[in-house]
Amino acid sequence: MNKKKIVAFILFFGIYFVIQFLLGWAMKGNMYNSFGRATLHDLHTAEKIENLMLGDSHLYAGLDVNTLSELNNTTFLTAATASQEVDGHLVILKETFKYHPELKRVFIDVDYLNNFQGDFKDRNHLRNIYTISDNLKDKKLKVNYLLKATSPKYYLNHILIFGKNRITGNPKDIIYTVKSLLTGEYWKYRKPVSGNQSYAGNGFIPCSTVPTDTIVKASEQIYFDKSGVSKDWYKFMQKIFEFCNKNNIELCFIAVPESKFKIWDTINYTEYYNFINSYVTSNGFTYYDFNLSNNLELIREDFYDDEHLNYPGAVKFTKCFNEFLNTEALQRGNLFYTSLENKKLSEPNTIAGFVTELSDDGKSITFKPVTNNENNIIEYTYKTEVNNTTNIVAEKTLVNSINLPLGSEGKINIQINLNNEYFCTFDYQFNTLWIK
Amino acid sequence: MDLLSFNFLILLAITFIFYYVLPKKVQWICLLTASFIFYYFTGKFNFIFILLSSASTFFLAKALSKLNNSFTQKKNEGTFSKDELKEFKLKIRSKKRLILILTLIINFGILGFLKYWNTIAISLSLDFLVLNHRKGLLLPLGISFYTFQAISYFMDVYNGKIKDEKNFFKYLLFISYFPQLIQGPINRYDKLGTELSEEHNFNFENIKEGLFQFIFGALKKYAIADCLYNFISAIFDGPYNNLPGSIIVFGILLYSAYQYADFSGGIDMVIGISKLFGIKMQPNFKQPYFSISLADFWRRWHISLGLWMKDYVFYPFVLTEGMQNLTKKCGKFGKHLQRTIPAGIANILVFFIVGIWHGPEMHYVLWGLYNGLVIALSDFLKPVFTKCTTALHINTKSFGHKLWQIIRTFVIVNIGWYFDRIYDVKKSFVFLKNTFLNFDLKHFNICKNLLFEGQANITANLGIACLSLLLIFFTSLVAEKHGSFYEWLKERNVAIRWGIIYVFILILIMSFSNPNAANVFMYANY
Repeated sequence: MNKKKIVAFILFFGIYFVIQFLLGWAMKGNMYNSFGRATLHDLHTAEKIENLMLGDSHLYAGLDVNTLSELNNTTFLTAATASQEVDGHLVILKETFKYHPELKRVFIDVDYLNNFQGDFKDRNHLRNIYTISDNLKDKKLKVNYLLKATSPKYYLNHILIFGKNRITGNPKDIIYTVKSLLTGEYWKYRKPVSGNQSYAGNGFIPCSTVPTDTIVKASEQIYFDKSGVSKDWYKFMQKIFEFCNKNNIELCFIAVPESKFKIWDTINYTEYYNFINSYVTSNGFTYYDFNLSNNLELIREDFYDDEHLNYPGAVKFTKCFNEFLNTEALQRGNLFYTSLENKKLSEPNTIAGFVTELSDDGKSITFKPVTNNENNIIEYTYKTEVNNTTNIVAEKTLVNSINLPLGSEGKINIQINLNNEYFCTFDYQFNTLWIK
Repeated sequence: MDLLSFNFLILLAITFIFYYVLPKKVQWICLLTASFIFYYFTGKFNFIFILLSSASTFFLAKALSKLNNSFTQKKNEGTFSKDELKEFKLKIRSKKRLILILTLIINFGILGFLKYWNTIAISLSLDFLVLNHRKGLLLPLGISFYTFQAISYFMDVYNGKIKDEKNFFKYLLFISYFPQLIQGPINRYDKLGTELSEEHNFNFENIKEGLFQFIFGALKKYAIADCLYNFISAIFDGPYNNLPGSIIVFGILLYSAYQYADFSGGIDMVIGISKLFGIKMQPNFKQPYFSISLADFWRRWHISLGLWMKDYVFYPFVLTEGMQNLTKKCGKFGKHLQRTIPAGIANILVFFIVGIWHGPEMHYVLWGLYNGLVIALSDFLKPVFTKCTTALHINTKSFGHKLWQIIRTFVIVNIGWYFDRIYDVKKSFVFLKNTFLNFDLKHFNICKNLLFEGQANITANLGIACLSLLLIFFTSLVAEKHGSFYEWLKERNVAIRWGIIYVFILILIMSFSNPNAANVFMYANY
């Protein structure tokens, strides 16, 4: 290659990197990782962190660490990020300890879904990984985390300024990011609690929304398969244990409460609970599942969806968690039921919600009740409303599925009677306009 | 191993370095080793089939060659009388036919067994005969492509077009050459075989062109095909069996773009990679959507398959005794029918096979037959069309007429895609009917929102795909006019040249932000 070609080569890539940097800056996908950025920024700028909370969205939405710090005259910080998994817990724990050696206590929220998604090499959704890695200060920790977080096929993506899950292509997001970066708004992330999620500081991200429609959801039931727990999970749990033991950090595992609908809908929750509990205790640590708490009464209006607490719910949980903190370690077990079955039995007969199941051909719908007592008698009254015409399809039937009127659009009004008494009414919107 | 994966790029980089650093005479060994590593990653059992296919065609072609040589030797010796020589020739011919039949049985037998066994067993409700896909024994990567390539080598030796290769490993490289294994093209031994055996010098121009072609192909695959995949699936694979015509047309247009981008993009990447090694591969696409007739379309789309079918199915079939008799009989009705009737029948047969080659399902058969029938009919009715254009005083050389032909062909091709993409035959007919009789544009948005509900990054994905499609349209226009977009680009000034390359690279990288990409090549399953 002659001199001219070398100069052209350098110039070509030089210009390319400038363009890429500018575009990457504008398209950094702020909408997705702004809470993670704010949280880890607070982690790095906090004067003191004595108590660290690790977990995912359940934790950052459900626990008011600022109130907790005030009540206990100590410093709490939640370093939870969306769908944070066990390797994410470890790297943030290490980063925190590096910048805050005063760290005394760590609570880790073990989320049911996030932690048991299989081997790390099979991960293909990288946004949650980059939310953590992009905001780590320690380069060595960052590289180690990225090398183990995915299969090598994504290593190239890790070093791209923008690539898979790194940027947003949504024009609205791009304009917002550029505007906020130019005006300086980008770093002013603390906002008062409002309807939507907002950052309240120290990793608390409350949301005061109360959804109107949480009794029906379309999803599959969750089943916990112990044999499917990945080796990576065990490996990183052991690393967390070792790190805490080595650095004299008190470690406690918790489960932030989710709605009854979600928990009861899990087929073998008790098996899952027993697995975590025995694994953690056999390693010399403790696990407390607040879904089994006996002094926390959460209603549907305490959640903004079927798994995340909203602000009123967070206030209740924070109070409960504070009581837990101020209870003697040996007495803490008294604050919980011994199993989900016991907790369910302690409640009056009720229905947590209905899981809808649309048939493969889209012609019928089934409403599967999620209840605390299998012997409950549930009656359904179905009314269809199409083009302002109401039809009673069935009255007080025990059949929990209905054929949808084909070639039309409208709603089904379902009235539920539980044990011969009115329980609730809800609507199901359907669209079969394009089904014959 | 994906063509744009970290593992593949590492393999490519290491092969590239060894290829140019080691002595030139071992360049082919370098490529063979890389091909073995690549194929190993796709499944160890796959080796058995590619070795079986290569060994059978190689050694049986060798046997053929020996027979040919023995005949030539006897002829040259002059010890045989004319009658003895004739008898000896007949003996040789019958032996050659036996070898031919054996080769075809072995190779198409493996292909047919692996590709169609489960479908046949399922359709006959013989579930106990269904083989387990997880065993990795079924459908080794690129089996249809390398089988056709191996058969083409054997047939060319059989027909005396080429001489047989003496080195089995060089032949094995021709069959297993790693860039082409995923989805072709179906190369010929006289071209690729020679290129692979030759020694190649490091040439910076080749590297530039290769990288450009690779990026251009990746842009098609990742920024168009992968971004569109989920939308197409949402329209055609859901429970909705009576969608309005407007959304169906939208889906078919997306599929049209998707299929072209996925297949031709992959081929461009393969050609680009080969160029890095100084190996020139034949193009498999030539702006197919600018075709002026369906026959023209098939000369521009999957060119290597079309040529294979022409050489090894169409002509041998037309030259059979039965077809020759038919040609003679048709001669009574004039020259036009004498040509078009046998050719029409052969075309229908060819496209029936093309349909089956795509898969054993009925919709593929219909799609193949549709193409064959349209081509046969348009050829048959050509005099009628000519009379019409003359009567209407249409200037067939005008731009307007060419544009009309392109649009007409595009519509005909897209009607064919209904049968190709909609797996349920009944549904494809209902959708076709709705396209013409129930277009229902006013429900388009509601329907689109319903179908795409729950999909992430809709605006971003459609935006990236549309932008890339515009670029591909522009490059196709240039290529149609100037022969090659790369050659045209080379003549531009540095600002335009670099600007276009930057746009390609940046859009390509942007498309990686799509988390729901398909990420596999559509034709990798063939």
